[in-house]
Amino acid sequence: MKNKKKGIQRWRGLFCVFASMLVLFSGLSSLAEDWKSTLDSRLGTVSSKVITTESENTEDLYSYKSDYSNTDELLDAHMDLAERIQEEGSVLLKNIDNALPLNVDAKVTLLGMRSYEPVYGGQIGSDPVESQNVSIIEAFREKGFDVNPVLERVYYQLSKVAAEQGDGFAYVPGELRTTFSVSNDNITSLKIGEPPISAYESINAEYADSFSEYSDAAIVVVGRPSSESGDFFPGTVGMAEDEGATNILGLTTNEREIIAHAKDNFDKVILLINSSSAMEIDELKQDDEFDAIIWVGQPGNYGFLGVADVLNGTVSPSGLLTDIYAVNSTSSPALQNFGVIPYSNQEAINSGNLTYIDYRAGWYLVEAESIYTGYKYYETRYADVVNGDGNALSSIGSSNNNAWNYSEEVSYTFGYGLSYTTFNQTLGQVNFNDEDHTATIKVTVENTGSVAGKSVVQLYAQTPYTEYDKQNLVEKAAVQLMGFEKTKELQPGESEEITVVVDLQYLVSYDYTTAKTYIMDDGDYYFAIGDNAHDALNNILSAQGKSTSDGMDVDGDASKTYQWHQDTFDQETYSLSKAGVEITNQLDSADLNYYLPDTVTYLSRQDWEGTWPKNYLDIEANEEMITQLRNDTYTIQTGQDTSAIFPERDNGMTLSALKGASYDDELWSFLLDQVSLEELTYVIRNASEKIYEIPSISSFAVWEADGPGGFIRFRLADRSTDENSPTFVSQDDKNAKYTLVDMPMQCVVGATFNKELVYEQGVLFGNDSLWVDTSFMWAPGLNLHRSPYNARNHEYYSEDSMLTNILGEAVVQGAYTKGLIMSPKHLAFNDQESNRSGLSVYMNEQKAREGELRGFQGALAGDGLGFMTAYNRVGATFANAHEGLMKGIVRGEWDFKGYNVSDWVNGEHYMTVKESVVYGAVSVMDARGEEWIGPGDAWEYFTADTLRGDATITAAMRENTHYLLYTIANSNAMNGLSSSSYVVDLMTWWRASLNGIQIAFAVLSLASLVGYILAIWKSKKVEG
Amino acid sequence: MKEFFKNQSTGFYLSIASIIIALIALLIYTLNGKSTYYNDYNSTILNYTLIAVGVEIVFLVLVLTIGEKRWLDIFYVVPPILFGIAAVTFISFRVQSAGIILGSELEKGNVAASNALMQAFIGIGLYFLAMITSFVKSFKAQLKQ
Repeated sequence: MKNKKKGIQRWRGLFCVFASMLVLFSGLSSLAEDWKSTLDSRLGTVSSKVITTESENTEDLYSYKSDYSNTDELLDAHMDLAERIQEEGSVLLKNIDNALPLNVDAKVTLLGMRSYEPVYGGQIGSDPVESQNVSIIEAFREKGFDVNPVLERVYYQLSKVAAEQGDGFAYVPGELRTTFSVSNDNITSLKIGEPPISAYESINAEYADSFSEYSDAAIVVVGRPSSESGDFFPGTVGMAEDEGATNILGLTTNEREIIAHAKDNFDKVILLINSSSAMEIDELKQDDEFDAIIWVGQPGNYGFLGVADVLNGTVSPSGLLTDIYAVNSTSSPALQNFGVIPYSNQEAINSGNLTYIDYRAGWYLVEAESIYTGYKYYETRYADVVNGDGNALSSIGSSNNNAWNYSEEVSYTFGYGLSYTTFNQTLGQVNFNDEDHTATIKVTVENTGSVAGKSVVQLYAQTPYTEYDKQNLVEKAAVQLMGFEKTKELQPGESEEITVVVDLQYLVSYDYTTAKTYIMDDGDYYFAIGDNAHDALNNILSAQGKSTSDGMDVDGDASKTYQWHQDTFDQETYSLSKAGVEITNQLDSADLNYYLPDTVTYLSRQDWEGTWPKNYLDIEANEEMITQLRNDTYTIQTGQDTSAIFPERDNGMTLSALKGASYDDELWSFLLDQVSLEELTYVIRNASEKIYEIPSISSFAVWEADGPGGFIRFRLADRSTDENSPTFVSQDDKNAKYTLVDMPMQCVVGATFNKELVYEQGVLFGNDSLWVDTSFMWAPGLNLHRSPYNARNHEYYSEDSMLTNILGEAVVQGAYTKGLIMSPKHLAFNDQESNRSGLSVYMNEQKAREGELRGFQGALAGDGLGFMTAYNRVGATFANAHEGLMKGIVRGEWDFKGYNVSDWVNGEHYMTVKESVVYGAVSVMDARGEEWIGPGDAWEYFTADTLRGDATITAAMRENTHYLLYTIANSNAMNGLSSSSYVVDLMTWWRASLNGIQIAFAVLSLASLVGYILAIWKSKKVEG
Repeated sequence: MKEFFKNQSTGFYLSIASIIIALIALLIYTLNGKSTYYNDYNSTILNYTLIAVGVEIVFLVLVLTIGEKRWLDIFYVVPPILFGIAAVTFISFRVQSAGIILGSELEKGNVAASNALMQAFIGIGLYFLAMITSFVKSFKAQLKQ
C-alpha cells in the first residue's frame, strides 16, 4: 500500500515538474519571439524572409546599389576615407621654423601616457571597437617612422602595472563616469593619470639613454576623454585627485613635467592634442622652446595613419579649428551657467507618488550668454574694445582681473590652422540674387609656397548693430561665418577660383521682442575673407578705418572685404520661410522670463559689464512651470468618433506598392485607411532599435542604429538576412565580425571644413547601411559646442551654427544617395550631458534660432527625412512635446515631412508618449518594451482601446504615420521589395530547440498525467 | 507545538519553504520595480505570487485540517506553474535593460543600474527556486503516516 502511495506521489511530482517546465518554456519561447530580431543578429540566424512572388527582375528591385562589390572593398573604403578625414581634419596650430614636417623615416620618441593609450573616440555612442584600433605607434611605424621601442616598453610596463593595480592606480588614464540617471550629485570628476618621470625610472633606470638614438623629435601626446552622459567640470570639483591643474582642461603637473623633460632632452618637441574639447595650452603657444602643436581630436580606428601623413609631410595640413581655444577655458559667458543646478523647490514638483526624479524635472540651465558663444563672444568683445563700445574694456570676464584684452584671452581662434605652404586669397566679384536671396562671392586662391596643399576660403559677415537692435534686444556678433569652400590640392604657383554661395536667410537676425520675426537692419554690411574669424574681423575693422592705433592687435586688409548698404529696415522679406510659412515666435516659453518676468538679463554688447551673465541659482519653479515640468498636459478624450480617422479598412494595398512615392501621392490615404490603431500604438511606443512591421499593409521591420562615428553595437553580418541582396553578408564572410564605427570623431570631420569630403562620408554611411541592412542612422550630432566642458563635443562638429548647418546637410544628402535616412540629433539644445534627461534649458528665441536651430536647419529644412529629439526640455517642456519647436518650426517653417523619434526613453513619466504624439513625434525610443502599458502604469493610456475615443490624438497618429511610411517608402528599406512581397517565418535552430523542448515537456506532462491516473486506479483496485 | 512539527513530513516543510522564498522574491521584485532606476512596478507579478502563495496556504490548512486527500493533488500543480510564470514575467521586464547594462556601454559606470539588475537577477533566481521547491514538494507527502 505504501509503495502504491509512493507511486502516486512520484507521478504527481513528475507531472508538476513537466507541466511547470512546459509553461516555463512556453513563456521563454514567447519572449524569444518578441526578441527574435535581436536573437537573429546575435546568433547569426534568420527567422523571417521576404518572398516576392511575381516574376520580376530581382536586381531591379534593389534600387539603391552599393558602390562596392564585397566587404573587402567596403572596409578598404572605410580605412581610406578615415585616413583622409584625419589628414584634412588635423589642425596645425604652431610650427616654429618649419619644425614640421619630419622626414618620413625620422627616428622619434613618443612621450606621455596618451601616446601609448590614446583616446580613439567617445565613450558609449561613438566608441570605436578596440580590436580594430590602429595605435599611434602602429600607425607611425606603418608610415615609416622609427619609433623609440624603449619608451614603448616603459609605457607598456606602466600600463600593465596599472591594469594589475586596478582603476584606482595613479597611471591609468581616467574615463568619464557616465550615467543616465538624474541627481543632485551628477558631477563628474576625472583622473588624468599621467605618470611622473620617477615612474619611468622605476621601470627602466636607463630609459633616457635611448633618446640619443631616437632624437629627430620628441612627440608628446596629451589628451582628454569624451563621453555621452558625461561632462567636465571646472575647478577642483572636476578633478578626481589633485594633479596640479587649475581646470581639468588645463595641463597637470605630470603633463608639464613630461613636456619639460622633452624640451630638456630633444631639440625638436611636438605636441599632439588628443582631445575633442579645447584645452588650455597658451603656455605652450608662448613657449619658444616648444616647436609645433597639432590638434588631432579623436581619430577613431584609423585616424592616426592620417596624423602620420601630416607629420611626415605626405599631406600639408589643411584643418581648421572648429572651436576657439581660450587661454582660460572658464572665461566665456556660457560657463557662468553650467552643470548641476537644481530648482530651489524641487519637492514642489512632486505629485502623488511621483517625485521630481520621476519627472526628471529637478534641474535647469539658463543660457544667459545669448548669442555670444565661442568666437562670437571673444571676437565681438574685441571689436567693441577697438571701437570703444559697450564697456568692453571692463575687467568682467577677464582671466587675470585686468582690463579685458583679446590677446590675453584667446590662444587660437575659430577657423585657425596653419599649413606647410602659403596661400594668397583675393576677393573677387560679389553678386546678389534677389530671387532666391543668395549672394555669390568669388575668391581666387593661389598657392604661393613651395609644397602642394589645400586652402579653405572662409567667408564671414558683419551686420550693423543699430539703435533699433539696442532698443529691442537684438544682438549682433561682430563677425559670423557665412560659408566656406575648400580648394583642391593646389601645386606651388597654382590658382583656383572658388565660389562661395551665401544664403541670406542666415545673415538676418531674429528679433524676438518686437518684430517677432527675422529682420534685416538698415546700415552697412560687410563680407570678409580671412585666415580665421579674427583675421576676417580685422579685415572688416580695417575697412572701417581702424588700425593698431585703435587697439587692434594687427592691421587688417580692407581689400579682403566687401561692403554694401541696406537702405531700409526690412522685416518682411525674411518673415516667410522657404516653404512660404510665416515665421514668428514659437519659443517664447523657452525664455525663463516668460514664466518669471525680468529674471534673466541676457548678455548684450551694449554693456558687457552690466549684462555679464549672473550665475542663476535657486530659481523657484512657479505653478505654470510645474505643470509643464510634470509633462501631463494633454488629457485623453473619450467617446469621440474616430472611425473616419482609423477606418481600418482593407483596400488591398501594401507599403511596397508606394515604393518611392511622393508625400502628396493620393494613394497614401488608401494605405493609411488600412492601418489599425492596435498596430500603430505598438510601433509608436517601441522604436528603440527598429520600426516594427505593420501587418495590415505588409510593411516589414526596419532597423535603426546609432551613431555619429559609424554604425555601432552590431557587426557587419549581424542584421544581414536577405540572401538575394547584392549586399548580403553571410556569417562566413571574413569580415562578418567587423564593426563599422571606425571613423574619426565628428569634431575632426568638422575641422576638415570640406563639404565634399563630408558628403563622401555620407555616401559611405549609405553604402554601409546597405551592407548592414539598417536604413536609419541616429547621426550626425548637430548640437553646438556651447563650451569645452560638454564632454560630448566629439559627436558634434563645432561651436558654429553655419559650419554645423553646411556639413550636416552635406552628410545627410550624401547618405540619402544610398537610401540611408540619417537622423540628426539631438533637436535641440542638448547643451550639457549632466542631468540632460529632463534638464530645463532656458534661452531667448534669438539664441535658439541663430544657434542650434540654424545648425539643424540645413539638414532638415526642405529635403530632410529624419531627426532625433533631445532628452532635455525646451524651457520647462519636454523637447518632444514642445509644440512651437516641433510643429511650429520643424514641421511648419521647415516643411519637414520625414520621420522623427525621441532619444532613448529615460523616465516614462517624463518622456510621455501622449504629449509626444500630439505635438509632433512619430515615435518614441522605448527601451523597456511593453512594461509601461499595464494597469496603473505610466503609459497605461496608450492602447488602441483607450485612444479610440480621442479624435485629436488619433488624427496626430495618422498624420505621423503618413510621415513615417513616406520616409520608409523612400529609403533603402524598400530594397528588394515589390508590391507582391510578403514575409514568411523560417525555422531557426533556437526556434526548433524551443519548440522541441515544449513538445517534449507536453508529451512528458501527458505521460506523467496518465501515469498518475493509472497509479490512482491501481491503488483503488488494491484498496477494493 | 513541538509535537505538531514532529508530525509534519518533508512536503510540509517544502511548502513552507516555497512560500517564504516566493515572498522574498516578491519583496525583491517590489523593491526592484520601485527602485529609482526601474521605477516600473506593476501588479502582474504580485498577482501571480499572491495566488500561488494563497493556494499553498489554503492547501496547508486543508491538509492539516482534513488530512491528505486525493482531490487536494490539484493544489500541487498550481503554485510551481505560477512561480514559473512570475519568473518569466520578471525576465520579460528586465531583458532589455539586461542587454543595455551588460551588452553595451550605455550604463557603464552606473552603479545604480548594475545594482538594480543584480537585484532583479536575484529576484528571478528566487522565483525559480520557489518553483523548484514547490514541485519537489509534490513528490513528498505533507504529513507523516
